Order: sequence, then structure tokens, then C-alpha cells
Amino acid sequence: MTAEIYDPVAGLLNLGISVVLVAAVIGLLWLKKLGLEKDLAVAVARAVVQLMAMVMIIAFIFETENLILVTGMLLFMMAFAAKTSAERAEKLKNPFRVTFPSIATGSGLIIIILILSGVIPLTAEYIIPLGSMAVGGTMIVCSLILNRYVAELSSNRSLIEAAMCLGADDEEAIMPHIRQSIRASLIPSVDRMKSLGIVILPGAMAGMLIGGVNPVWAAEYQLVIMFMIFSSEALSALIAITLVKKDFDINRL
Amino acid sequence: MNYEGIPLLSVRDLGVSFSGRTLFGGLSFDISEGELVTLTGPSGSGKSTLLKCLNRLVTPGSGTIMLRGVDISLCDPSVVRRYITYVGQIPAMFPGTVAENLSYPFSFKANRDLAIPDFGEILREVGLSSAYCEKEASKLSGGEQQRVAIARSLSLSPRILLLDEPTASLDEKAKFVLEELIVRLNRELSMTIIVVTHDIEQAGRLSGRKLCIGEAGPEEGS
Repeated sequence: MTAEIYDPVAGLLNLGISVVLVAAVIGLLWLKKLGLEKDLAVAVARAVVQLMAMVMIIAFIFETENLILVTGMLLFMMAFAAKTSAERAEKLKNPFRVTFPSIATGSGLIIIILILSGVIPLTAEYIIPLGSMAVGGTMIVCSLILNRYVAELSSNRSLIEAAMCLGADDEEAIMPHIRQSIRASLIPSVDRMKSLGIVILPGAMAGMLIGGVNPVWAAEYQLVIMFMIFSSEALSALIAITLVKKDFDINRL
Repeated sequence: MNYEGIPLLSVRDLGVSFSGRTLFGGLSFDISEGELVTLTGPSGSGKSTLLKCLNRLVTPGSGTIMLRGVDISLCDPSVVRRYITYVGQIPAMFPGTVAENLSYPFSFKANRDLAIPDFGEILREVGLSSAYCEKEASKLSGGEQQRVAIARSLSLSPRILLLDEPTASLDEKAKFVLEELIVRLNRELSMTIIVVTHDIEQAGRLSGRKLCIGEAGPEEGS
């Protein structure tokens, strides 16, 4: 890999150009009265501040190579992802209780398996970036599945009630809608895999190619990452739905 | 077991409150086998909630409901609902044909020991021909859907059929057809039926026992 010397002026200029682009999009959304502009502006500001703060922490962890700090960092990412996802499921009672175990188990278990099998070396440089990809993926799937679950149950209340009145237990009555929620939440992940290499040249592979790494190795590594993320997401979706369905109550729909 | 003297359904001191507001309280009545009971009362008096208490869709705050002397709160809700079936105001049709709608309840654990009846025969009982079996349930008229919903409940051979404003979403003609069906099911099959209605004239046409719930509590009608 070739490493270029970092030029802070060029870096800030690039960042400035991208911020102008996002600002233009926010302006366009405001003109179309979509009501997304405030949410998006906050998200952009948070992305800049959070990433910069995180980079400093990550640089420190990379230097120390302390595994306790690496684990702490991943747990922090999981907790933050769980909180973000829980905000999307505000209709549920204490959604963090669902999102944290789903995200932590879904992403954590896959990372541990990859480390133990030797696919990922036990170093901060690998664990943190790859772990963050798994946590990010599970966060999105968790938000999608909880959001869809609430919507499916609310819009199909009469069918669920009818099934219960005909002798279905809670799980039998909501199962068709649970299946629909799982399918819908995994559509982006499946589409991402289906279009891999043709439509999407994923970030890690693109970075490795830019860095001059052998394309076969880059592709191989990207597949590992992609399968890792998908496994984490699917596992997380199943855990989330298992936890959330325990709280089902027809009278709260 | 000898059930002589034990009412089919016995409700004692039933009360339901939501968010601190009492819908009804101290409600007591008995229903005998083969009775047709119309339940009337002003909007918001808790008529639908009472029906849902009877098949354990809603848990009452106080009181007991006994089916043949057995407290239903001690029974598996799925089993209670198979004996006391409930049909809502707007019939909910599952995706698929009428036959698929009729067979769907038999896929539930609580109903797996039940013999699957002849669906053509069940449809005839509600005034539809067996040709309806192959029709897409969602494409039927409101009146036909309501009859399929009743047939779906009847296929489980319930002891009590609960009908929650069954004609609320129907036109005048379909309303009278359904009223005739309710009376016929009660007379010919000796089916115990509790019908919630806000329509006093309809309660008169159904000509069964009248029970009114309201602010003053339960009252027997004339």
C-alpha cells in the first residue's frame, strides 16, 4: 500500500466542497417542503463533529493497542447505535432494551467468530473499522425492523385480532407480520450483496484499490466483510424480533 | 358431567377501567344455552369491551366470567376464544380464498385436535353456496364477508358466538339478510349468540333477550 502525505489545506477544501453539496441538497429538500431538512442538517453537523472526535480517540487506541480499550470502544459504538435505533421505535416500551442486545449480540458474535477463526487479526486497526461496519449495519437493520414491525402490527390490527379470536396464540397471530418485517428489513442488505461489484464497489475494496492493493486480495477481503456484515444484520434482526414480540399486546396497538 | 343448573355463561361484578376512567363496573348477568341476547347501550358505554372481556381479548379489572362454571381467567386464552368466538364490526378477511379463510383457524395449535368440517356445509348454514369456497375473500361484498367471518367462527363449533355490531358497515338490504341469519342460527342450530348493537329497532327485530349497559349499570330490557 502506498501512503500519501496528509495535506490539511487540501483536506479542508475537499470537506468544504462536500459540505456545500449537502447544503444544496438540504436547500432543495426545504424547497420541496419534505420536512427533512432540520433532521438532515443536524445529522451532517453531528457526522462532522463525531467523526473528528472519534478519529482522535481511534488514533490513540491504535497507538496503545490496548484490547480493553478496543473492547470499550466497540461497546460504546454498540450502545450509541442502540440508542439511535431505539429513537426510531419510540412507540415501543423501552426500545433500548431490544436494540442493545440485538446490536451487541448480532455484531459482537460475528466479530468474535472471525477473530477466533483467524480471519481478522487481533489488532485494533482491524477490529475497530470492521467492528464499526458490523455495528453500523445492525443498527440500520434494527431501526428498519422495529419501524416496520410497529407499522405492520398497527395496519393489520383487525387481522391479528381476527386470528386471535379464532384461537391463535399471540405468536401465531402476529407471525405473518413478523415475517414481513424481517423480509423488509433485510431487503437493503440482500440488494447490496446482489449488486456487489456491478453497481456497488464497496468502501473497503475501493480504499484498498486506491491504496494499490492486489485487486483479487481486495475483492476477497471485501467478500469477507460483506458476509460478516450480512450475518451480523440477519442475526440482529432475528434477536430484535424475538425480544420485541414478547411485549406484544393487542390492546396497545 | 352434569351441567344442570349451571348457566352457560355467568358474569359477576365485572368492571373495566381505562386510564383511570371506569367504562363499567359491577356488571352481573347469566346467559343460558341457546339464548339470543342483544346488548345495547350508549356510545362509549363499553359494549364492545364487554364482548372482548368475554373471550379474553381484554382483561377486566375486577369480577369473574365463568363458562359452564369454569373461571375463564384460569384457562388458556386461545382455548377460551375457540369456545367463545368473536366477530368484529368490519369483517377481517385473511389473504386467499374463502376456503383458505375457513381452513386457516385449523392451523392454530389450540384447534389442531378439531375435526375439519365440510366447508360447503358451513357456508350453506350462513346462506352462501359452496361455490364461494373458490372465491377470493377480499373481493366479496361487505355482507358476504360478514357471513364468511361468521362461517369461519362456526367452523370451530363454538359454544357462544359474539357479534360486535355485525351490521354496522352494511347497507339496509344486507343488514336485514344478516339479521335473519342471526335469528336462524339461534333457532335452527340452537347457537347461543350475544349481539352488540346501538340500534334499538334492530334489537327489537332480533327478538331475543335484551341487556342494556349504561351509566346506571346493567339492566334487563323489556
